[in-house]
Amino acid sequence: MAARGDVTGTEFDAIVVGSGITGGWAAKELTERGLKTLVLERGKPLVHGRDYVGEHRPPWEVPFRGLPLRELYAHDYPVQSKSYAFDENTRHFWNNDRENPYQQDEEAPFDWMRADVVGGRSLLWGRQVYRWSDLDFTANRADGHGVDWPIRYADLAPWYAHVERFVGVSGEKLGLPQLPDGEFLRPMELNVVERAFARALKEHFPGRVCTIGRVAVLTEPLPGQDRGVCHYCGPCHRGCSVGAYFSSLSATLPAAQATGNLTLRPRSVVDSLEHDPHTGRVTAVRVVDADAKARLRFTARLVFLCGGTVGSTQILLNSRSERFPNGLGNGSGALGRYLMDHTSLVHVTGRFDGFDEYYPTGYRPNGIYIPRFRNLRPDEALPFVRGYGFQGEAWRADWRQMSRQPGFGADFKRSLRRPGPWYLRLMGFGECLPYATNYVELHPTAVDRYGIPQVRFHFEWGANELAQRRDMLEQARAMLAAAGARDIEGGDFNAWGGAAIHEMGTARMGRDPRESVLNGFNQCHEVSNLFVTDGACMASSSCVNPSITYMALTARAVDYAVQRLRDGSL
Amino acid sequence: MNRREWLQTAAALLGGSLGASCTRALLSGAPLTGAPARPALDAAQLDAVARAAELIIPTTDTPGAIAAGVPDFIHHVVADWYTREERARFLDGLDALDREARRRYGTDFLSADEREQTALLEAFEAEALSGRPRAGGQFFAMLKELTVLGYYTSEVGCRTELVYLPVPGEYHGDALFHAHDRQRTY
Repeated sequence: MAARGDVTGTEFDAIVVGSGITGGWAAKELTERGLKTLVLERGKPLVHGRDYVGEHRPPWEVPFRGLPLRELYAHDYPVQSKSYAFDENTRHFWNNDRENPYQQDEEAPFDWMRADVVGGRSLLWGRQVYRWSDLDFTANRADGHGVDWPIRYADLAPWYAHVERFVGVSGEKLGLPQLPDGEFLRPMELNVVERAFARALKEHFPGRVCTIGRVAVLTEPLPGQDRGVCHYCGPCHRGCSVGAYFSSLSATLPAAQATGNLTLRPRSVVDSLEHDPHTGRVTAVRVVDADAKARLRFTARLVFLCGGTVGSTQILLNSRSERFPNGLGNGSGALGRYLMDHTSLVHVTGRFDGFDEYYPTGYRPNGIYIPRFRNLRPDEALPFVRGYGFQGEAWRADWRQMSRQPGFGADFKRSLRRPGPWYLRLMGFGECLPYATNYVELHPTAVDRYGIPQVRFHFEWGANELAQRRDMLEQARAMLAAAGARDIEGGDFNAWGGAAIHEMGTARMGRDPRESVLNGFNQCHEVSNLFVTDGACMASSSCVNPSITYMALTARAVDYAVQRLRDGSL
Repeated sequence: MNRREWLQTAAALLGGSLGASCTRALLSGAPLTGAPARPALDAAQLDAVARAAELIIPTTDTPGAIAAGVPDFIHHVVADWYTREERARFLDGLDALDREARRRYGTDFLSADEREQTALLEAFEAEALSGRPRAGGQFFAMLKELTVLGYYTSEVGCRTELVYLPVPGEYHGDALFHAHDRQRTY
């Protein structure tokens, strides 16, 4: 993509830190409004298509046929290699934990999953797309945990529509108040067992719905974009050179590039922001060139932090001055606090007999979704507040699973030729409350190879999350049993935070500058030309996958910022 | 650019992040044909592994483990992927196979007939399933796991025993399974 090179001294209208899901959106929206925009990305350059070296790679060409390279992973990728999407087909996208370390409280650890390429985690995300509802935006006010959101669903609804039309989201409209419908392309199909499960759920659990996942993968062409429709090859995280899935590389960065207003600078590690106490504005972004190790300085009228929740907060915490001794825009003391991740890894699986005559074609990059059904009313008398949803999938066992049976020889080989029994798995994703005691901070002494202080995590689940997960486990078992599943097995494997890779909070939005970092337009209360639009801004977590909300917030914030810029008030 | 060159370039691009031994392991794992750079099995041991693998996944109406290159794959794993301890356990088990063959049949594993070889593997499998496997049982579990992985991820296995379909083009959740169908893989 774009010109790298010496762009110091160039005057930009806007600087975007990060090129992932939100950085891509900020770049697109800013450049399309005519702003000369510099995108700073700490990761390596990556060319859409060409650099998806694992895409469609046959298994016999994968080193050691996909066996994990244990010595290497333990040494260089102890955190990242925990991800389901980490393997030899994707490793080149991921952060090297040894080269880019972080600190954590050993008693309260957190898995910080990071990409290290242009496009960031937009290359690796699960692509599930769910709007928030007013049940989510009013949750903090209703039960007193966290600060009230300064916005409501009506503020964001048009921006959800705006980003969905460009992202391309396939899904089924349900008319549920707790999970608003969006601008959907044709939904993907449930398979035969998922359909049977959905019927049973409707019959035995009135009010609960099983639908196909809403996913940022094209099932129909999108006018005006050079992206193909899904060909059901399976593992999107290896890369999708036809651009059927949404990523910064497949969609937003090309759109930004097409305006002629984009400058993308990879290998540019942001150290901190420079602040002028007289004007109250950010005056420059301080950068370390990862190759030359040179310290650079870039200036612009607007700065958007889109570095990923913790990345953005790290930059703010490291931007200390006389005016802001505890981090830029941190008059409230909320910066770094109220870190959240969804509860996940509550998994329950059951076998479904009687469907052996069916075998789906294609490898659908999507599963089922059971929207939140708990605490939809205030009087449900459950031992926890908020709620959770289930993702899941039904599949037929393949040779890997079936080969665990005893036996060998011709009969064994024959038994693996046909697909095995059907299973359906439910995986809970629950809302995590914002606690002041869950935080990231700068380590007092540990610095990275660029001299930037490392972040240190402290994260623990609260009683509410634990109570919620017990209910998840019970309800998943009950739903599978009611649908006729046999040999139901499962458990709660969610030992610590970060596993859902939905980390959010640490620079929350709020109405009151005394207790929040950002206002209702993602603008820093105390620094008028500074916007933070990634997951750091979140004041609560809902239970749905967050990315589409970050995208909508980003587009809305850009619209606001550019209007203020134009009317001279910024 | 062939695969080996690509891996070397990739290793270089990754900024020397691969330790020397890891790079060697990665590179030696790449072609998965021929012998590893530092062989862990001598010719007789490799023959025994090949024979045992072929008993696990035999030639039927489709090629078996040997035709699918499974012995070389196992050799690469034992030489370059296994830890020292795992390698020792595998080699101990291979010895145990010969010891048990001599005890039962007065000959080594390779010289026993197919019925005898099968009985030996069955005995080792029974031990593997017993919950407290000794060398033979542990060896069988390792061998079976590698044979299955090596076979069903091989080009021969994917294209003959399974249906290799990397780009299906569409998804139908209620497609019927026909009697002659096989598992599809990518």
